[in-house]
Amino acid sequence: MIDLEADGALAISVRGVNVSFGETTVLDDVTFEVAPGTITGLVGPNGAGKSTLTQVILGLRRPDSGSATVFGRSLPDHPDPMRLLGVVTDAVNADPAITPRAFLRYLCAWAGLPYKRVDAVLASTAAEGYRDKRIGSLSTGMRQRVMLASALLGEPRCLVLDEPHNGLDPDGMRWLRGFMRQFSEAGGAILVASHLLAEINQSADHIVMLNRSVRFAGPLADITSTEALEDMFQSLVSEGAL
Amino acid sequence: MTPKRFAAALGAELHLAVFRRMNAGVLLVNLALVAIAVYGMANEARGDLKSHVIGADTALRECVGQAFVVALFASLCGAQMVTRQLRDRVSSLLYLARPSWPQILSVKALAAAILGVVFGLFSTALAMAVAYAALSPAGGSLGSASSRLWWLAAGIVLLGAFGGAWGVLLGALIRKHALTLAGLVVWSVGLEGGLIALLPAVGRWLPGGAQAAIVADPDLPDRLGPVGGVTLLVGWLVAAAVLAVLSLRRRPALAAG
Repeated sequence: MIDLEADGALAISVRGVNVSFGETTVLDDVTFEVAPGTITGLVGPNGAGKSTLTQVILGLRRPDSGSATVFGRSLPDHPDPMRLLGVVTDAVNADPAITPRAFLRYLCAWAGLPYKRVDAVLASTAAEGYRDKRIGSLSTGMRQRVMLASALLGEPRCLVLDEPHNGLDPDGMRWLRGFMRQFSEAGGAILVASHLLAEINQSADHIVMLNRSVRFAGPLADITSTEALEDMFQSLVSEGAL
Repeated sequence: MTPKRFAAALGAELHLAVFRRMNAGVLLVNLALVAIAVYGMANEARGDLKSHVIGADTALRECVGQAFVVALFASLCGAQMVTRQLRDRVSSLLYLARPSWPQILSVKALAAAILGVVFGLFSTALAMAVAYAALSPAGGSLGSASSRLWWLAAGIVLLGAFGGAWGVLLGALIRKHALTLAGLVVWSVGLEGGLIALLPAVGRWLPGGAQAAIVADPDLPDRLGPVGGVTLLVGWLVAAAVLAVLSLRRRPALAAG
């Protein structure tokens, strides 16, 4: 059993991760960490390797070298990963043929979670109104809330959210911002990858700028105090294009 | 995985299988084909039965044996239990819920086998009903059936169970949804049958040869015995399970690509 409180264990630790697809280097010696009680924004241009990095953290893709751990271990090495980490990324999806309620119950059964969590997470993501509609018939924003509900099923200590704002309306964005703040204030750690720099700017405490390798990792205040986030992102994109 | 969690996961898989409209559709097509095949066979057998070329027991067994197609339909349902989730990227989430491919495949294979048993029971019952209805005017009745007919019926149910598990494991190996389903149909309906007919010495060792052994298919005289057939099927299942787990470990969880 891992003592999650011991030694201020890092929620996510990425150390020297390298991933190549054939001759193409996708991630080059990527190193950063996410501490409990913080929101870390992961930004970078298209093709920067954000999605590959989240897959490595989730244990869905093996790096060529380096390691990614969640509370000290590779995520699949934990006996009950869903109790530690919730995930919204395009590498995972809900079954479009069934209802949100049936889908969440299915996950509960597999993860050994009590079924009462289903109604709780549907309520906390305001997805109760369509819990009995087929997921395939829902809008992108509604499906996004269902995925957020699935991420919260195990009452995790850490969330990995890849473009969680996709499809959310302004109310949904505001809700998500508040939810993430509440989650981190309760001691949870969040790694959120997004193209929406304004959202990252409003939500995150720390930022990791990625363009195959880590170009910057540190408190968001360090950037905003010296250079606008957008300018830095733009220079990163220009650099990537060269 | 504790027995309680195994049972919960198994229940969830079965619940999902019942939810899927595709499974109901596959069952209906399966039953329709069984009815047509049995009726066609009964028409052929009726003349032989009337002229006492064959006995009622043989005629009934020839007809009911047509229900062996259940293995194919059960395997289609089993395969899509894996390939649909790979295609829809549900499998990655499932892996995070239970990060053990042997456990995931065991549960899914057992659920598919149970589904296959249901398919087998329906198919056998329908085949018997159609055979009885078609043969009774010519003197065929279930009362005249020997224990061999009941063994045949049990064998067909077993083929359904095998087909379900076989489909799960092949789905995990091939991964692509459409390719797996098309491959199963082409192999079972065409290629395997052709191999068995052309090279019976080789064909008897194929899964189809093992199935022929279990239902005592007269078209393959050089077949194994029923026990040998069951043993061979189990061997194929074990081999497919090992390969499927190794394949999923090598390319963990990501979608079919």
